[in-house]
Amino acid sequence: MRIDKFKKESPEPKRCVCSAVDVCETEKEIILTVDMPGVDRKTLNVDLQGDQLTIVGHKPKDVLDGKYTPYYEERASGIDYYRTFQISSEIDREKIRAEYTNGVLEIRLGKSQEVQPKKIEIQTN
Amino acid sequence: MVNFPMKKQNESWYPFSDIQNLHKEMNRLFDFSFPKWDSETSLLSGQWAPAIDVYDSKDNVVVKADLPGLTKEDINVSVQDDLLTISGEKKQESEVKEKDYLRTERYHGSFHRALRLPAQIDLSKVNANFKDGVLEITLGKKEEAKPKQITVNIK
Repeated sequence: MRIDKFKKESPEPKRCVCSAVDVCETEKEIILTVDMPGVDRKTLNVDLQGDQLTIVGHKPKDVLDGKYTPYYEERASGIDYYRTFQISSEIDREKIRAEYTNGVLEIRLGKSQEVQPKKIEIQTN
Repeated sequence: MVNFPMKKQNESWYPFSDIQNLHKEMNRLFDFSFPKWDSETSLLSGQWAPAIDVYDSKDNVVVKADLPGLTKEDINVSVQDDLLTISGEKKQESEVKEKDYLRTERYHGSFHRALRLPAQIDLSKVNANFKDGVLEITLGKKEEAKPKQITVNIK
């Protein structure tokens, strides 16, 4: 389990929610699945600076028409979802794709060619 | 002849007080870790429960639930009187078979949540929509459940 690929995460800058992330690995990619329900798409940002990958999205405060009083509140709103990861040099920076569906942001980080497992032909005389 | 570990000569040792304290502490820790939900919610029937907000107005109750990663086909919503039940199952994302999970923080599997709403609901006035992982349910209150103002004659 090469969990050291994602080293220490940087602290969050301000009040925000650390979204839940699943990390899984295939031969060719590392896939990050981030829970970010209700985020304003215009504020969604996936940023790669050096070896730091930052994921940010703003969830706007609930605005309801009419006079509503909160009866019961558990969700966070009017807040940023924020996570950062340090990615290793095994990732090919040209091969990063992100897609937001049903409140989940899926980021695929392609591994560079050298790192992908290669099948070596065995020569027999 | 049994030797009891005594702290001081004149201090009696109640053997069960320590155990009682431990029991009390464990209960407290348990209640803290698993906050009490509405009595209709069963911890055993669902493995996780989505976060829910309930808003109340004169005519309606609005319920919002965070359900990222689900589609509307995965979710069941039902209402009876003033009890709202939301349940469903997050299907396994299995387009890639040879996945090696390095870290899982998100919830998977089925969920079930039941809660009492602030008023009795008129079942013909319920609608729900699901966008970007947020389920929003608007429920109209029954006429008799709406707040009414009456003037009181003081004799």
